[in-house]
Amino acid sequence: MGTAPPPRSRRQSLAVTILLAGAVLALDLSVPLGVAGGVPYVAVVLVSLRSPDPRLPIRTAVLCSVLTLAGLLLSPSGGVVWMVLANRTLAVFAIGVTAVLGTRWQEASQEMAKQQLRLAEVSRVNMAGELASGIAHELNQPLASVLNYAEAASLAVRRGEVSPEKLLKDLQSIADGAELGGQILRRLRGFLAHRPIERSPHNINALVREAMSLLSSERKQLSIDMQIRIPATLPRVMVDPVLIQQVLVNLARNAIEAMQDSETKQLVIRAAQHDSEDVEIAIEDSGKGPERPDIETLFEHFVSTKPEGLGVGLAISRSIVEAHGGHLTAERNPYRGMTFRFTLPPVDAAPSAEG
Amino acid sequence: MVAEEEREPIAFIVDDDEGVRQSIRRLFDEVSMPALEFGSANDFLEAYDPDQPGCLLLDIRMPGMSGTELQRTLLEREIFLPIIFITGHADVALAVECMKLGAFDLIEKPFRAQRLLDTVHQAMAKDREDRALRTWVAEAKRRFSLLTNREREVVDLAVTGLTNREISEELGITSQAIDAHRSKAMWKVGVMRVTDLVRLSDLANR
Repeated sequence: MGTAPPPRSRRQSLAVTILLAGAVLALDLSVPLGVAGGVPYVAVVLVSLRSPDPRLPIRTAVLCSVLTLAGLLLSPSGGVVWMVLANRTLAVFAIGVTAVLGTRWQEASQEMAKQQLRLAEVSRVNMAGELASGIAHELNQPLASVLNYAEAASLAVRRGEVSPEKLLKDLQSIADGAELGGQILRRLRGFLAHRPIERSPHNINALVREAMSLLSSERKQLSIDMQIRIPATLPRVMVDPVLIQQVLVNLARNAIEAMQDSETKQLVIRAAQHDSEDVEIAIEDSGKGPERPDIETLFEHFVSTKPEGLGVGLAISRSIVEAHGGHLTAERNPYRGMTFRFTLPPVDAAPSAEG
Repeated sequence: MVAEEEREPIAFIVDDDEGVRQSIRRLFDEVSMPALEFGSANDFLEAYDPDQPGCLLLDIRMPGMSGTELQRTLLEREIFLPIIFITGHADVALAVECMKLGAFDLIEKPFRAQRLLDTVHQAMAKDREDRALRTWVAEAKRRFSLLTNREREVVDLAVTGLTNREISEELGITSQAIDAHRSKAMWKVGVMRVTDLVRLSDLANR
């Protein structure tokens, strides 16, 4: 399972890069000139590639090249002159190539992440479109039938030839139609649960980290500081990993989007177990929080606070959590942002399902 | 001239959704409109007698044979029962296709009773006219088939408005012979006046 490296802040990356470069310089100065002491600078450039600042790698390469040449003057002498010069030139060359290729690779992977995001967005919109059209078609059936019975009954009444029995039958049919309409909407609510839920024991930490790796590019782009605080002592949970990760991605993406314009961008994911009962997972952001006063309405279908949002994500997430026997709630943080919490059953509730 | 006694028209309801089907049926019962329900296009095809007048209320989307496929099948079998399509969602492309193939109308679900009943009455009226016309055409063709080739030639020219002399020049036979052929032909097809002969010939040539 590939967990993404935690993205660092710009300042952190800069500090690490300078520190490493200093270390390499110290090494370089402590060995004779004939040793290719400039080559480890390549590693410094590689480390600088992990910074959210796209200009850092090139700057680091320039710094390292300068240091490599400085080493030429400062290192204890030793070795053949032309070999020393060739060593230094090759080191500078390697540093430059690493920086250029690394930067290109970074750009390409960012572009790819953007495309993937766009693709996901398009498929989400498509899914919603199909969903809406499907609902419209299905709901039209009971609506048409309700309307027909109502009209037939009013025709009968208008003609003055109506028996209470006949009227009662029409009214019953109308009630049946309305009930069918409600059933269709209920089915829609759990439309993701079309697939039967397949539960197995899973480590929460692994689930969370894997889900968060799906969002690493978004997190990096917005320089979000993410902390995962999950104690190793937590029991495993009985869940359908695909569905629960869908919930995690959904909630974390909401949190990240909420912090887009915030000064502090802190995403904290905690997990805890209270009194050996359900395990609670909390996703906490430092965004501005929703404007609407009634937080509960966030969970309704087609209610969204985001301009391009569809408003089905939270409703679906809640359906998934409830299908696992848990609860999903939202609350405003006392200081800033929001926290979404959901509970999952621990594995000891069903030890036989192990394996 | 139409010997057949007129059968009462029936509204045929073909929809896979039982609730919708029965509710339409209930509406028709209320206005004493004879109606028959079918849950699939195939059930209807098996049961339908092409001589039964009426109209067809057809759901566009159905599992198995769809509404549009039934429409094509009926056209292939030269069954011209007027079709009123009932659709659950406005699929413009599909609607245009149905109308191009000669659907009588297209109604979107849910619909008001008056709209449906008016359309059904209009469709049944059109079916009655079409059937009458088809009967006349068949009758005219049958009568014209009794004519000899020469008589047919004379009649074909006479109905275009040519005089006896012009016809005799055209066919190279005497004006008296033309007269005789034409009288015989008119007697055979059962008309007294040339204007009736023109009308009948028009039908026979459809």
